[in-house]
Amino acid sequence: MKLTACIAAAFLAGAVALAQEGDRELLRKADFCASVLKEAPATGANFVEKAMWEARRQMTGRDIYEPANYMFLRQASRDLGVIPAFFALSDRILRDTRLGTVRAVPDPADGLIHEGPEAYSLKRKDGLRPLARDPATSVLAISAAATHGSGLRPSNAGPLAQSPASRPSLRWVSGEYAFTDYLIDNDLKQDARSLLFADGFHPSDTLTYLRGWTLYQLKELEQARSYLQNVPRGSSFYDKAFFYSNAISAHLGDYETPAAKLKEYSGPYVELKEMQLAGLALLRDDPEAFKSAAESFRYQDHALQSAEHELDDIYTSRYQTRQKSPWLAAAASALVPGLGKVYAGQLGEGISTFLITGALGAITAEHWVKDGPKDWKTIVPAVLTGILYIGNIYGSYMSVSIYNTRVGDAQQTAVLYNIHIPLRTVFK
Amino acid sequence: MLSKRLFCTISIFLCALSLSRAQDLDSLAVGYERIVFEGASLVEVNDALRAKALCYKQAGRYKEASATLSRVRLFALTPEERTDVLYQQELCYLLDGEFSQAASLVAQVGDGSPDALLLHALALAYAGRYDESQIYAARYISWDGPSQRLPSLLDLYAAKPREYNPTTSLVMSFFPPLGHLYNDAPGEGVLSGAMNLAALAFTVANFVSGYWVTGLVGGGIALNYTYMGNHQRTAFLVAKHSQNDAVQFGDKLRAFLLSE
Repeated sequence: MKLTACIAAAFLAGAVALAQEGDRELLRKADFCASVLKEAPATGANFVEKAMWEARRQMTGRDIYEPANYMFLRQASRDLGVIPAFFALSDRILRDTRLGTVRAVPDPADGLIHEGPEAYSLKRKDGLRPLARDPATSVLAISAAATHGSGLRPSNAGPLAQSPASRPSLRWVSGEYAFTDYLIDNDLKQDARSLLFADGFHPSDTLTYLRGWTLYQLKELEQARSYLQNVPRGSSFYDKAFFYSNAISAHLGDYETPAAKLKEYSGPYVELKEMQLAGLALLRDDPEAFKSAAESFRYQDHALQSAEHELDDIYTSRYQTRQKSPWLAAAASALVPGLGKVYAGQLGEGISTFLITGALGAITAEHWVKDGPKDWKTIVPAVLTGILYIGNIYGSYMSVSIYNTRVGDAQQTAVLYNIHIPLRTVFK
Repeated sequence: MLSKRLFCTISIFLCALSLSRAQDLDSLAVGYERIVFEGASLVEVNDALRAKALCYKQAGRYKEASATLSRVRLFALTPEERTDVLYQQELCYLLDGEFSQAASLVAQVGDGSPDALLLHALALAYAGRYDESQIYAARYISWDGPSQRLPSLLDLYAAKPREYNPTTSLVMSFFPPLGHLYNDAPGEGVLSGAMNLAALAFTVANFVSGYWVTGLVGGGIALNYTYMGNHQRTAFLVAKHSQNDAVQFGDKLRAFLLSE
């Protein structure tokens, strides 16, 4: 054994030495361009936009919004039309202050508020839309992170796993449960992927399930769904894979397919089935289907009762509570600039709007009194005040629509959360 | 004591290194992680983690390599092994562009080999700590005795980037455009100075003409943007200079030290 240890140590030393010989080559090849701070105007900016970018750098040192204001007008003109674009830009300028952005949530990746012209389009006009989500920040990602180590159990090998017609060089994946669980639990998901997607395993329902589960943990949802949907009915993993694949489908914006599959489901998890059906009905904006599914809620299963109550609350809030009126917000802002924003729940934006519009109004009034209404010194601030005033009304109308959309989006997120998170407990 | 299993995996690792195929390295990394999972002793676990980190390093996945090295139980290593682990970690941090973290390991790695001296010189240079870097660079090229390249190295360090003091920059920026000039941005300084002058002139002219509201409100808003913007801009310029100049100098030093 001593000899073995000596040889092994020599090999290890050799490996280290070999690696260190390559260190200089690695240092030579290294490229640190990504570590350099670069500044450039937005791609495609014209001369005027570049000049505005330069002025902006000297006036605030940074952009808060993406796209920046100097690029917003062009995009908004294309998407909304020229006149609405001017008013939308006015509203944006009124909000683009420290006070106005106090409640905004910047993207952690770049510290900017990503808000394009689409924020000024009435999204709810055609009903609820599927949520396009970044898997990294989604409810599914949170859940995936929280389910480490909770889902891998040795199975009674399913029908595929017992197939005798297997090549002798292949091995069964059943022996890798504990190791795969360890890898996922220790945030070594790429290693789990390398392990499970390497050649050398017999095809089996267990392998299909483990691959789907690993991809789910890696937030590769499309592929994860494909694998989980292929777990056959007879497998001991079938129910778990079935309900998780439905949650993933809903998350990816497909509400119809999982609803149809759930209706055909005849397994033991009846209440879970009805709970997911109710959630999918809310996602599809179908109150009748929700009421039909919610009749099966018993509110007694500890894994499901919280989600059932939440779904009931969302239903009540969405269909039995009066929504805020954009017209009332517009009227309030016509009366007192910024008041409509306060009504929409944006206090900081409302105060910012009031101060800027009020300041320009005061300047106009001073010149009106001293120089008369026809003097250019009155006309210039008056025109600016007028544009900002109308922009403030337009923005308030839109902010209520945006508020309603955000509430709807938050409800959609909550529904996705509630049809998904209980799976962790049910299949623990 | 090393087991036969570890012996085998190390042999495989050596083969894979010679092959340098990313897929092999991934599989090997999993193999080493399996040893950690099943590891009976700390020695086995540490050896496997070190070998796994080398796999990642060879595959260019430096962040994962440094993360793997940080899992090594240092207390169970000999002083030489401990130095090697920290050396590899410093190297991986540097290759990953985490200069401050790389420089923070210099004291722990020590200076017992030319490789360590080279690494320290580079890590400190990229982190903007030029004086400390110079000491290690000089010791590196003089490792085998007095070097004829020393004067060239000293010339290189004589042309090291200017250090921009954030406090000085802040004080200068109270008088636009001095903050910009301190940060070697005369063009931007002229623009900033002109904007501040225009805002001030607007304010004063309105006060003199008796337009108190316009002077106070309009001038106040304009000066808030131009004057405070000048402060923010100079603060950014200091950070930009410090970072970019350090990278440029580090690249030059790297080319010099590795050109032997």
